[in-house]
Formats: sequence, structure tokens, C-alpha cells
Amino acid sequence: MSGLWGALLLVAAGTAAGFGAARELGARRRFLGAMADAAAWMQEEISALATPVAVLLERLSGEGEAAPFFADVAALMQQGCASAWQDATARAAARFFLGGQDVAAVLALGDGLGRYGREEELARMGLAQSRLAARAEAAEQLCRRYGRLLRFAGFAAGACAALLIS
Amino acid sequence: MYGFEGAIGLMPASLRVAFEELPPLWRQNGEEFRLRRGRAPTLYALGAERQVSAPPVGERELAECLALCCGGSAYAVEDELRQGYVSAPGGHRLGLCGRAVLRDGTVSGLRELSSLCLRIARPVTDAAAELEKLVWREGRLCSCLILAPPGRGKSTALRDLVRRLSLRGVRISVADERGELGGAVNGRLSFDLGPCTDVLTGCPKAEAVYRLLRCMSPRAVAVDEITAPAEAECMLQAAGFGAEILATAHAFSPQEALRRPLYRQLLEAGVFSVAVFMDAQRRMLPLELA
Repeated sequence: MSGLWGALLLVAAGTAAGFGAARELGARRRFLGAMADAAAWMQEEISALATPVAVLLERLSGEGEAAPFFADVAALMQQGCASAWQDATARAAARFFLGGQDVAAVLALGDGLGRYGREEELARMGLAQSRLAARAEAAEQLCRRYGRLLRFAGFAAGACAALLIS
Repeated sequence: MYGFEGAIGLMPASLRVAFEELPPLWRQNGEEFRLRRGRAPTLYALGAERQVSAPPVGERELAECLALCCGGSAYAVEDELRQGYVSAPGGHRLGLCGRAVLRDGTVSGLRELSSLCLRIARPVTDAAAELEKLVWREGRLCSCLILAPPGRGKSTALRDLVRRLSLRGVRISVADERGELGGAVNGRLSFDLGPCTDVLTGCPKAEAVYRLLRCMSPRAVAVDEITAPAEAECMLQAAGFGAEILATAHAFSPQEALRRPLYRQLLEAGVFSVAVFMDAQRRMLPLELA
């Protein structure tokens, strides 16, 4: 009886690990996608209304997958935009399982934010948005390719381990 | 955000302590902070520039001060930057110097910042007590021109006059091209202009007056610093709309004001019922209008 319980636990643990890994991929994909959308929206706002950074952050903190990130930046703005963006990115990297290139793309959006005239700001943000969109696309592909596989692999690994032990 | 303490909050973090430790007399009478690259910061107070014991100002301090004054959004104040100033929170005003960037012969921006001047704003609630009696006579509002040399407090007097009249229920529209009267930042006014006041910020004065007359149906329009013929022309036309004009202009003496064609034209046309000159003691001396 205890052997059966042990086997079930192994299968459950393997499945949970597989689902956990797939969830990490999904969280990263959603965050990067939300950041790319946010960058596009920020460009539109700056282009049309020259909306100040504080107002942009306030609105972006309200909803969406990247809301916690923008809320962090807004809360840390007292220390300066560049430093606030860096700290918030470090937190987001841990929370959304970002890789080195993802972090670089997020940092590029905040690098120099609000320091330039409208034209330069839009050009800079355009480049950052392209980078984020590319990272979001890569994350999407990774998720599509390995998401289901990871879930199944977790279950399969658990089942194999259970078989081997029993 | 008002006054000396508010202005200190717009200084770079590395210089704040030095400003906070200044003698109370300087703090009470401080008018401007000046940051010049490679030199110690100074405070203009009691008629002289006073050096502050702090390390020399560098590029980083200048950039930090500018970022604080524009709320970290240079693109949002691009038009002001092009003209060499930024309206900061609290009604303070940052003047900038550096290398002008020209595009098609006009200044498109500033780079290589070399010095900054933060003019400290303080709300003064008795600046127009005397003037109000001249402008508001037995429930009747009169058009008024305030003349004074730069730095004597024309804008402060006009701001207080607007507030006082607005408290009386007079609907006033303010054409605040450079944000000096209302100190609007992100849609919020830094100064109290009264409950019946509408402010149009950032729009060239001549155009602003037309817009306000057409859209806000004010009983009076307030304009700070008439300097260009186009502005005088719009005053002349505004008089025909039935709204009173409250305005300020630079003049070093009453005689000089009457000699200048721009102001003489307005006074002769009867646009203003009252014209006053602010003397060195900030008293309002009414001018004899023909």
C-alpha cells in the first residue's frame, strides 16, 4: 500500500515540476508581451500628448501583466527614474523568470526615459519596443514549442521514477 | 512645494543639505538658486549673490536638477526648454543656459548645460490689496495695466489681483503663456487664483486671448507681460468683446511707459481705465490717463 502511495507521490511531484516549468515559460511570455504592448502605448501617448512619465507609470500600474513592474518603478521614482527602473527590472527578472537578453531589453526601454526631447524619445522607444517585441516573440515560440512538452515530460519523469522504484 | 523649502526639493540631492543649512535670514529672503558648472552654488538674497558652502556643481547635478524640475519628462516640457526655461512644481521657474541647438535658424533645444537659475516662487496674498481698490469700484471692474521694472513683482501683483477679484465672483480667464501666473504642472495650478478663474497655459498670448474670449466668456482676461505688437493688437480687439483686460508690462518709469509706442497706443485707445506704476517700495502709483 505504501509503495503505491510513494509511486503516486512521485508521479504528482514530476507532473507539478513539469507544470511549474511550463508556467514559468508562460509568465515570461506574458510579461514580455505586456512590456512590448506597454512600450507601444507609451510611444503613442508621448507622440500625441507628451504625457509625463509619472502619469504613464500611474496608468500602466493599474492593469495588465506588467502592472507590478510599473508599480515598482512608480514607487521607487524618488531615487531617480534610471535607478528605479533598474531595481524594478531586477525584481521583475526574479518574478517573471527573465533571461539576460530579456533583462537587457527591459532596461533599454527605461534607459534615458524622460531625458530627451520628443523626437529622440520616440526614436529611442521605437528601438526598445522592437527589442521587447522580438524577445516576446522568442518567448512565445519557446512556450509553444516546449510548454506542452514540459508538462508531459514532468508527468513522464515522475511515472518513470515510480516504475523504477517499484 | 511653495517657497524656499519647496525649491530646495528641486535641488540635486548632493546640494540639498548645504542649502538647508543656510542662515534663516537668507532662507527667508532668498530669491534665486544659481548652479554654474564648475562653481559652488549660490543663493541670490538681499540684493546679492551669496556663495553656498558646497562642492562645485557638475554635469550630474545640473542634469538632476533639470530632471526634478521637469518631473523626469523632458519631452513633456520641450517647448519650454526650447525657450530656455521650465515651469517647475510649486510655481518655481528654472532658467537654463548651455549650447543652443539650431535647426533651420531657430533654437530647437539646449545641450551641454552650463548653468541653471531656479527662481523661488512664493505666494503673496497682500500684493494687490491697494490695486484692488483702484480696479474694483463700487461693483464695477476696470481694465488695468501694471507697469514696473523687471523683478519688482508685477506678476505677483497680477496673480493676487486675479485671486482677489475671483473671490468676489468675477469670472476671469488667464492667458498664462509661460506658466508664471498659475504655475500649472500636469493640469494642477501651483498658485491659488481663486474659485472663478480659468487658466490657459502654454498658448501664445495673442492667440490665448482670442481663444479665451470666444470659449470661456470671461468678464476679465489677465495677461502677464505685454511685449509684442501682436499682443497689443489683440488687447485692442479684446476691448471690443466687452471683457476687461488686466495686464502687466515692463517699464522703468511712468514716463518711459508713456513714451513707448506699444503701450502709448493701448493707453490712448482707452483699453485701460487704470494704469499703475510700481515704485521701489512696491506701492501702486496711478498714472494720469488722458
